[in-house]
Amino acid sequence: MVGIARFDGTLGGVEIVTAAHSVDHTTIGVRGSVELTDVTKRFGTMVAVDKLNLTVEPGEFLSLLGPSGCGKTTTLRMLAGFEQPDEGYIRISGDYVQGVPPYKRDVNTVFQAYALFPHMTVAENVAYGLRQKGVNKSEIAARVAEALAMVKMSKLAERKPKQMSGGQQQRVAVARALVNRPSVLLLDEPLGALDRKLREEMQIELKLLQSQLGITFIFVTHDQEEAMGMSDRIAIMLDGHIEQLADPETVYERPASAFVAGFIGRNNFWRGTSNGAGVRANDGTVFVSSTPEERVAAGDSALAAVRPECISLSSTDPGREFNQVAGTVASVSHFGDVLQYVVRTTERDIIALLPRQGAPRLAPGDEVWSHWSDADVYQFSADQADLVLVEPAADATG
Amino acid sequence: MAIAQVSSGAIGPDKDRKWGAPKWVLAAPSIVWYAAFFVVPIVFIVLYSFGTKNAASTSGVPVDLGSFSLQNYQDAFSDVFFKTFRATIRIAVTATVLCSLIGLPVAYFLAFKVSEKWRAILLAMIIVPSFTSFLIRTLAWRIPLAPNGTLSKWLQDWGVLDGPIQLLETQTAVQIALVYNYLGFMILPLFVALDRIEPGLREASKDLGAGRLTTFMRVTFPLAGPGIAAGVLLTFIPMCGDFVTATVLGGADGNMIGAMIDSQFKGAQDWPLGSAMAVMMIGAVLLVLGIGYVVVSIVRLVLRRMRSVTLPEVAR
Amino acid sequence: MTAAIAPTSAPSSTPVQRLKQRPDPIRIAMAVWTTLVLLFMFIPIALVVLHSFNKGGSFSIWSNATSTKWWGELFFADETWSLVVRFVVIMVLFLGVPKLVKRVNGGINRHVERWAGVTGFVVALVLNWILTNGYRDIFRNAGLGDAMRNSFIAAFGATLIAVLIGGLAGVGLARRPGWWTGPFMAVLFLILVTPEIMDGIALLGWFVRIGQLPGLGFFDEGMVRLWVGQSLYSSAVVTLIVRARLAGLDDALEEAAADLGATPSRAFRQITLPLISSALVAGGLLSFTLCLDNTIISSLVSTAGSSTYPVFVLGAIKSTIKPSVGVAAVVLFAMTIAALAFVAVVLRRSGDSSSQIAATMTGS
Repeated sequence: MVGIARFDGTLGGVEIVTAAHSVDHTTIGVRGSVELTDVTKRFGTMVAVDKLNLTVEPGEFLSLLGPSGCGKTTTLRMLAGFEQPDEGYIRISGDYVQGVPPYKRDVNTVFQAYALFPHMTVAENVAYGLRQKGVNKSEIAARVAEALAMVKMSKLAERKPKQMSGGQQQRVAVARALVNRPSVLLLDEPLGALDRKLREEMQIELKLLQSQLGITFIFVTHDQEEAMGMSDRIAIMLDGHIEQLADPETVYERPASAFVAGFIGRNNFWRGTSNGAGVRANDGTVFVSSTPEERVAAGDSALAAVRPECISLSSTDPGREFNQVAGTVASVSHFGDVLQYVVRTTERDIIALLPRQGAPRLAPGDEVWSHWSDADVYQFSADQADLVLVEPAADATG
Repeated sequence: MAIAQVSSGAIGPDKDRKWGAPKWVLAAPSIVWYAAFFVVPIVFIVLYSFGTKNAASTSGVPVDLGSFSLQNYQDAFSDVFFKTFRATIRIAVTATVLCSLIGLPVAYFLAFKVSEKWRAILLAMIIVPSFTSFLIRTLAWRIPLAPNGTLSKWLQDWGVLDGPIQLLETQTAVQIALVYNYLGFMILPLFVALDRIEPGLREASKDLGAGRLTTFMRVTFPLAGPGIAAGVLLTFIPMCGDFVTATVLGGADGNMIGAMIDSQFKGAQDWPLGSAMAVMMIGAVLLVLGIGYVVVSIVRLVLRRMRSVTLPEVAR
Repeated sequence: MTAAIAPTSAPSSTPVQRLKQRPDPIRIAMAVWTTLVLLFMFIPIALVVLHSFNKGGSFSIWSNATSTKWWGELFFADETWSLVVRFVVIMVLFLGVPKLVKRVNGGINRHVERWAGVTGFVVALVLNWILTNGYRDIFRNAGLGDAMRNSFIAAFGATLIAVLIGGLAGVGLARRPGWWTGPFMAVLFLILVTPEIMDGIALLGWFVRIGQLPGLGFFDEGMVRLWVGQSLYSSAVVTLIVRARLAGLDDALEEAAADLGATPSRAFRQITLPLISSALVAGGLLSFTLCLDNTIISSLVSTAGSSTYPVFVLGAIKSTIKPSVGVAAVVLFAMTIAALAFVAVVLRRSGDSSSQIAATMTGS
């Protein structure tokens, strides 16, 4: 188990060591902890969040990751106080927050489109929260200066939001929220509007800020790379519930469902039937896994999955009875240090990613055998087949 | 700060509420205002239209609401009223059509054919006269239309006309002035609608091989639909009720229904008849707009049929 | 898994021949047409201005000679000029002094700078009101003068109502939509399209009826009736303008304020109100010009002492119209242009393009 040790500066020097996986109930009630119990939120007949249970440790960086409409933003809005749960309860720093309006909550939000007040300068924007609390002028000035320095925006303090780039606005939005020293910072896809390079820079800076300040970050995103790169733990959400809650490594290595396997990283999926030890795909390929899942009983329909980077290609038949399939190369793409091959087999196209160094020289049309080790085979029940398998005919129905 | 209480869903927020107050609370003053000074008064007009004239009524309003009567509607269908009625609708429809025909090229020119700087100048030149006093603009037409005015003299001197201009106090004068008065209110919504069409769409149409005319007919014009509808509503409906233009320029010959309704309330004191005429006017307006809507819908349906693409059955 | 499709690069082997730009005949035709339409729109107005300087005794017949006598017939020259001078001096003082202080002092309170113009305008308005007996002293022609006064007082009151209720409703529509939005928008739409004659007769009957009720006698006052009658259409316009302004702004802004600890009332004052201030000013000025111009409702609901300028002119239509009516028209015309120009400046400063300003003017 991966334990995450850190110093929580808000407790006056008391060092707390938390284990990310087993919920340590002694931390509940500590400033910065968040607990959701059986939280349900409906909009009309649509259930946005469905009996959600989640505990966030103080000082943790937790991502809510999922496709649009999975309930991640609604969850965040309930924490901020913009929505009230229909059922269940939420505790922030140990206090129940039912009916507490957003302006009385000790949490702050970095909004998706930043929501910087267009009629105020950067400094006025950052000072806004402190003014509401009635902090005296000299302290406001000092704290605003400190917050702007923290996000390297001191030079643009007198600018209006419109006169700044997206990345600069993003920094101001972070400063505006953090200057209030909230117990929890909520971030609603804050990097979504930035271009790729800037986004990667901001990811590093946000992560650094978080580890310096020790504030709990709850980060909503649909970008799995972003979540993987920044989080202590990731909650992968689907249809209002959490599919898997674990640290990035576990989520990648041991996905709890076919959906997670398809959403985190990439995977090649085959539909077939479980035979207990493995899966027999509909095209005849036999998958044998060294870590057979007991969830799928023999005879039930099942899915087998192999990640593209785990697939090897050879132009001669490896001659095994399982974990290999014959096909032809359909295309080769160069991604810098890796090559992506699309291999056409009788039933489907397989994607294989091979390091450029030592990759076989293959051209479109070549006959090829794809094979993989039994340690790299996942198997899942077929319940989520429609979510992860894109059938050609399914395209037409959307 | 926080409420320490365990709830198992007992605190279900009211669906209409967000931080306390009902959602419509900010509109409450408007709601009260419009109810008191728009909806209820008009309901009373509908009631009056079924009442009988009574100058000695105690309510202060010279109408008896005791007996329900359709007499006013029968009276309103009499020859004189009905003739004015038909003339009003005809003049208004003609003026609306003329406004759109005159205005469309201008709106198109402003939206697609001029630089941003010129667009601002030209828009200002359309907005300024449109927001100038309606009455003054109407009155202004008495200058060129005056039989013994300057224009009349010139036209006679040049031999264009045999006698003085005989347009004042005619339907033609009303027709011209209506087009003039409402032209700006047709051009502006048309321009707004055309301007909101993404330039890429027209380029895409040309890129796909459509000519200028085809692009206009099959892309620009259909997308400008809402603007045309807005322009028609903003011109046709007020025209139907307009009595300023008719009073200032129309005389007896160019009378319009608005002036007749006005005279029932101010001169003749026959409120029930005036109310019945007003209700009929609204009915006629709705009828004309309804007919227009049906015609447009049929045309669109036919066009959709003509350009529809049927895909062959996809084998699964 | 679907196969990745390699992007095909577009071949551009043939060099593009740059063709000489030929004048587009359709564009020229449209330009000519637009010019003609603009001439058509401006010539009657130009005639009104010209005829206000007519030497003869009729507004519509040109006497071949110019004279300012009809200006003198409407206004007392001395009083009017001193009023104009007072106005200009006060505005220059209020606008100029803060600028001077800023230059000398290096800085000035933001609020002083921002509100100086408005304060100056109000001070000039009030001071002149006091000095000219409520502007009565500047008019030689009392009938037309009173009509112009009434026009302004009516338009001012109606605009106040329109900005107040329209501003609130606009914020509500943009920020707190719900089941009520549909019906409310339907009523707004009806107010915008109902022929004025219908509103006019309905209000007339209603005022007569409720004026009889105990405590509601003030509805027999012509000015009260004008305020109510003119406020209907203009409040709908303000509502739509404010709604459009807020619809273009991220609705997370108010949420951000709440998130940062602002109570709903503070968020309204500190965030929403400043954001819609330009829309309120633009909507208010637009409403003011619409009210000044209002003829049909005003002519039905006004009483003998409260005739506005259009009502006065409409009443005089049967007799010969004097050029002084044209003089008053030119004054009103100048004020309308000033108001519209101010609307354009305010909207432009808040970042609107000319297209967006045009959209605002049509209430869409």
